[in-house]
Amino acid sequence: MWRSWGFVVAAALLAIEALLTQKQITLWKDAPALWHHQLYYQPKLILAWANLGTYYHREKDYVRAMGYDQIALYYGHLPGRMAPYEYSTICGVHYNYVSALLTMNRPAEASAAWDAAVRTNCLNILKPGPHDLG
Amino acid sequence: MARFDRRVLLFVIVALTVAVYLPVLRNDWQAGWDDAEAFLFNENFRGLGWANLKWMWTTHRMGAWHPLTWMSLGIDHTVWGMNPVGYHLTNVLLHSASAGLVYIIARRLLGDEGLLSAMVAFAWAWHPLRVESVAWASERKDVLCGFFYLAAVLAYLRDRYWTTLGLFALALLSKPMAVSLPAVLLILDAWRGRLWPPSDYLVPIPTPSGHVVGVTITTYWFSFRRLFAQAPFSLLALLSSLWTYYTVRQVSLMPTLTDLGIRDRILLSIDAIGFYLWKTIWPVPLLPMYQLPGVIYLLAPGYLASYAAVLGITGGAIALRRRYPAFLAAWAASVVILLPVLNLMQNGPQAAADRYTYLSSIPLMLFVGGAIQHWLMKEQR
Repeated sequence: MWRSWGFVVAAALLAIEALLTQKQITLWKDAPALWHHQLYYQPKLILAWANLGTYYHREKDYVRAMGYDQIALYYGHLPGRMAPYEYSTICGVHYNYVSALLTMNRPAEASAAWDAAVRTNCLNILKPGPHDLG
Repeated sequence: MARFDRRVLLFVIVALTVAVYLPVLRNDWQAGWDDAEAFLFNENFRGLGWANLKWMWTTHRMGAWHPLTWMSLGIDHTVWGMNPVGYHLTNVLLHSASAGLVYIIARRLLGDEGLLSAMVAFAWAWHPLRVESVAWASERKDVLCGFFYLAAVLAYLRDRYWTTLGLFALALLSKPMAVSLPAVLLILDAWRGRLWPPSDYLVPIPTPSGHVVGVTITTYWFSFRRLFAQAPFSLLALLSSLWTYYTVRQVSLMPTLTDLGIRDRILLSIDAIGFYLWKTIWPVPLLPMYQLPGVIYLLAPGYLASYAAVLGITGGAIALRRRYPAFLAAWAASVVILLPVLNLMQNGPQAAADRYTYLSSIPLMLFVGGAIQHWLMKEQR
């Protein structure tokens, strides 16, 4: 009796597990799905905004990318907000932002954005190529 | 259960696991994260020519050295080009094969007819914590290492020493996290009574009537032979650990002791163990990044709950070691597997990650299976 019920309960739990797993798989569908899921729970996570920005830079959707970059920079430059290991992330965002402005032929804004990157002491870690922000 | 039925059950486990993970094939690359660096902007892994192989065996791009993982990705590229479907399919197949291995290992350790072991395999393979390892192409190293690691454990249970050593080497070449295997094998030996094997001695004792009676005395001597047999495994693990430390330091992913002190590392590690335990029980929500906070309040209620749970379970496992040795063995194995990725050796910005439970959750699931079996047998009596 107990044995049969036990297996029924176990089978039900396994079915729930499988359903949760399939739902979790859809969250890994692509970068926007994954990082919007993260932001639903942690809306101030710099890495999530930065990774969304990186994704749209690579998709060459610069306007949308710069929107995400600006939010990442906003949270990154709030006083006392940036953790030490987020420093390279922020510098990567600065770099992508400047690159996008240059690509869009907006040199004056790019120059101002570059100055902001210099003020953040990013020169020592910036290097050519798209930044992996993970 | 007949041998044929066991094979059918094994096939069902692998096939159903493939079915559960089939939606992964619809997924794209994670182009905002590691997949870009690993695949989209990386020409070197594309193919299996001499130049590709040389690169695969010498690079530590993105931190660790895992040439076998790069080779498996090179094979994928040869077959699929840059279509992510093929890479995801390989991950799904490797994970499903590992589910089959968990089933066979469970059957060996639990000694049941097969159904309970199948439940253990399903519970592990279908758990949402596995998704990060399977659905993220960059985590090929996880599923490949997991497969060889489990195959090594199975070979060890079948007393195939050299096969175990070879599979361990393959696991290390897939992901250095496999360094825990020698310790896990020692725990297995201890649990199976092979570290202190019984030796019977017949002692003659003269009686007052002039007769001599024989009394058998059982002694338990520590088996140095078993310990020495672990030496090649430990040597490989040591070399892999040193090499990984060197390569990871090269890309500056490890904070210094000034950035993160020893006390904080220990407490964060205990918290991470509690976190993994909780997420195994209640896997909602699961996130790609559980980031270390900028300022860590190690006496916050969440941390305190973790410390209490982990220390309580550890104390309970030690106190009950004679009555339920499997409890201590499973807990110790789980923690040992986690050790290389706990915050003691902080590497990157994460406080924890779902993928780190890929192997560490198996001993706990086996223990739960064993506990259920123990209870069922008591019910029958």
